[in-house]
Amino acid sequence: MMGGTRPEIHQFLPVLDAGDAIGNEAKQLQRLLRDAGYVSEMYVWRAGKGQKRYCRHYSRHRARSAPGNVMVYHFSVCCPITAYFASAPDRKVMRYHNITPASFFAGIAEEVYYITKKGRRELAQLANVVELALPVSDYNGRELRESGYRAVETAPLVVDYDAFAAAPDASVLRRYDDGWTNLLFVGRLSPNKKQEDLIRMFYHYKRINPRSRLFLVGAARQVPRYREVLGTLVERLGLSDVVITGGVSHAALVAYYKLASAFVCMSEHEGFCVPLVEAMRFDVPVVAYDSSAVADTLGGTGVLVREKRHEAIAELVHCLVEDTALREEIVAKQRRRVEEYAYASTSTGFIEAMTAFIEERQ
Amino acid sequence: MSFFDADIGARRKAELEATIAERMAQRRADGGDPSAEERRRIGDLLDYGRTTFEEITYDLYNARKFVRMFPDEAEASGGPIGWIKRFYQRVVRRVLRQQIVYNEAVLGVLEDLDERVKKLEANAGVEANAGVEDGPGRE
Repeated sequence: MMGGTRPEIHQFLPVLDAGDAIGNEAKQLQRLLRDAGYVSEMYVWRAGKGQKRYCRHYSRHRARSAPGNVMVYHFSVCCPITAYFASAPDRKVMRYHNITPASFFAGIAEEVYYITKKGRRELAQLANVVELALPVSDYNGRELRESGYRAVETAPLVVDYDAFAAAPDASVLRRYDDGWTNLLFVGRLSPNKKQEDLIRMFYHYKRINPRSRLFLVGAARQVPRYREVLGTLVERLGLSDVVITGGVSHAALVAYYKLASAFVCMSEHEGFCVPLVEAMRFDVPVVAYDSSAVADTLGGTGVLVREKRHEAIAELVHCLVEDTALREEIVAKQRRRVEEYAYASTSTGFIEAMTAFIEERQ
Repeated sequence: MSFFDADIGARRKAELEATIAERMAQRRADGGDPSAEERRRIGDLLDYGRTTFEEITYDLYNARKFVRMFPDEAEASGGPIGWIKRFYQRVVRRVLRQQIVYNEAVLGVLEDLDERVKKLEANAGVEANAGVEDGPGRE
């Protein structure tokens, strides 16, 4: 312990990237912990572009390591930090964001396949050293218990959704605010997120409503081959209005949410899915496939799809876009759900969990 | 069971289901089966998940990983990096990557040769045994 009797609480994450849900949460938590009077730094294995000023390399933590201090490890992939975390004398907390099953990447992304496969192994290895696990959803909590973790408490992802009150990118609005119906999905292009199913659904939707487009917003760099597959799929289906944006700025993201008539998610694996909450925050009705943590995050709101019948889903989306009364009913319930994810409530939950953990030892 | 769920009341949901089914039937009556056409156009494009990478070793994977992370690791642990050092890192990274690709290729060739040698040895063994069993002088 350094700097008095109060323990230091430091966070560890594999990569700190701009616009990444885990990185964004880590920054919020650092602010919270510092406001609560704790010394708190972020340690990473790798810092993304422009992120070095927020964090340090994990090897530099050694100087601050002490048995009474706390390490909070954001776990989502395998990483050299795991071995260091396991061997350090500090008290250990895991923030579990889930690991995408490796099978999604077989045949299309060798590196990610290994990262995720090895990640599962590391997750099991850490069960005996982690004193408290704070999964971001109940779904993640169930997985941890199955992997042998004992003290597991769900604490929803801490996101400041008020940041979306920012001004939208005017150039995006100018380009697409033309009275067309815009269907939106936000998430990196990845086989588990099943953007291919969105394109297939849109093939049918375009026949119903020709004045429509599909926005696929999210970085494509992790699985470049999947981006190629999606491009070929669009060509084969003869679709002209699928907009694959790549990574976008915060202002552009706000613009896409403002333009959206419906948010459609066909993802087959999510540990939480922040964009669902973001869409609800913008009063965009959500249609989502019922997989992994999606139902937990929606909490009975939105429309949950159980079967991937693309043609039927397209009709369902059309009903939701056309029928104002139905849309209003869905959106009103979503609004109440968003309140449960308010920053004030999630941040208090996290700090209380950490305080209880520290006091339990004292 | 319905293909979707929404908290809009049982009656409203049943109406919505009926509307969807009716519209789908109407569209099919007007323009054929769009799902069949969709599948025909896609072909086998989405069957990319049939291969796995079990044959690649963790050592090779880690070597590739090292090459990729090399400059980032150095940057992360220090301050700003000058252009000469950055250029040096880029060159080193490229050389190492080529080295790994070369090693992979050589390993592949060696494994092939090894397989062929084993096959030849196995065949030679069969022939030798055949000679012992059937050759002259055997009692």
